[in-house]
Amino acid sequence: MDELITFKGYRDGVTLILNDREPDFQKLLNHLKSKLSHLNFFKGAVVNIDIGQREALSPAELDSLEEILSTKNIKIKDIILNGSNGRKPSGSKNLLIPSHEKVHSDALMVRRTLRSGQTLSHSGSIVLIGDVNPGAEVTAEGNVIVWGTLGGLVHAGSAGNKKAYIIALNLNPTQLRIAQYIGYAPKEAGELPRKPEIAYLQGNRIVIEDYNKVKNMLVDFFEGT
Amino acid sequence: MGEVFVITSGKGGVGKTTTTANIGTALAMLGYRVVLVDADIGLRNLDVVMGLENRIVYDLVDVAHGRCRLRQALIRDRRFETLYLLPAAQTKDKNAINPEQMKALCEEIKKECDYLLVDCPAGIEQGFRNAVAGADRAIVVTTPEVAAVRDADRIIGLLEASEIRNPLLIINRIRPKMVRTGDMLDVDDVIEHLAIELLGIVPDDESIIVSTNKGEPAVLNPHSKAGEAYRNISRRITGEDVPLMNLENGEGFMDRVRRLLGLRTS
Repeated sequence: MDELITFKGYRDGVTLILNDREPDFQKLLNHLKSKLSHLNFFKGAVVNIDIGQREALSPAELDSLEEILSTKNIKIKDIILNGSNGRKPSGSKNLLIPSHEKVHSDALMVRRTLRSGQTLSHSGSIVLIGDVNPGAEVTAEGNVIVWGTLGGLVHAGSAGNKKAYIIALNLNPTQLRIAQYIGYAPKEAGELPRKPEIAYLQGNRIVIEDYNKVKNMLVDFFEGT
Repeated sequence: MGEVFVITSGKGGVGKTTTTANIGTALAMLGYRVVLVDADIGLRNLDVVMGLENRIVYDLVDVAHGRCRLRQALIRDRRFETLYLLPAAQTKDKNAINPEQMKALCEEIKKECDYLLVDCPAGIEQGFRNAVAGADRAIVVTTPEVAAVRDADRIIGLLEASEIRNPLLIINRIRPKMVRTGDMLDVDDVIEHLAIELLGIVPDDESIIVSTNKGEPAVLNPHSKAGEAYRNISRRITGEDVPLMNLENGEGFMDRVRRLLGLRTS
């Protein structure tokens, strides 16, 4: 059997991975408790929780998880859900359970490729270094920046922020959402421009422009967000 | 101790079973001890493709439940004595076994062979979870079609989640002519999208249909292009460095003349 609980260090901090093949959540918690009892260097850390393939945590599960972590003064930054099994409606809120008391750093930086069926969501902005393949979903209450090809579904400003924007080196999404507005790429054949583009809301339309052409004009637009 | 490969794709009908049968046979031709496991419980057909259907007495579910010993269920190939098949049960379904049982089974078999190939059912449910449970590595089969590539991408994500790293890719049923005219995704498109290591490419070949129906894997036919591709793939699995096959050999006389004159072939 694989490790029930794994700690992994990433550039954006420590991630605690809960093995998603263990159906008994209580067992995971007990294991975490005993593991933490003889580990001290995470004291006071802020960690991400990767819950892998399992469904979103229930509020009760989240509470008990927080309780155990709080004994070592560890705070939860975000919950990462890897593959939602495609069962959730897109843009569904419970992929991530934001908690009001928690302090969020604004941006989540992730270095990986999101494949079909995998989702990433965050209460702030997301910076993803890698590709978002068709069938994958990225949801952020803030902005989404993809250093790579964005081919899946992306939702910026998911809590209603109309000033949210999406930037990608290669913007080729199946569908774009900003706040409550939805746009999709026109079904035109032909090569897409291989240059960075930005999508933002203009009135009630999502527009896509060559990032380099508009970046100076955009400063005013985004100032005051 | 052998290595366990699961052959998977997500989408159905892209050639998982054909690939399993051909790679397995080709590895046995090279002298390795190979066991093929059909994990497609309820829809078995690896036995048909191998031409061993009429020898089945016990199956994978019987072994997993201890109704027989492993040796009793393994069927030896008609052609190669180092090649064995563990057939799936046809009268049960995917829930008849669980991932733990599958894992234990793979552990037991791999002690006595060089390569264990698990033919995974289509889909991402219980059958998939069973098939990957005991695997050390994965071979993802796709065809140059958008839907198949999309499913392969999904499968690669699920394999990562199952801690099976660095899956290998086989692109099956390539039609060089359609690729040339731009009507089919080419190998580079697929690799760029999936970003995993390419194990081999297999041309679309009518002889596969004939050999599948006869229960004679195409690798046994020295004239089959697909058979040659699978033989190359098997050698790569054993660690040999074999260049990718040139699929353009089928060029006509005029094409060759044009090429020699330095003109672009259409």
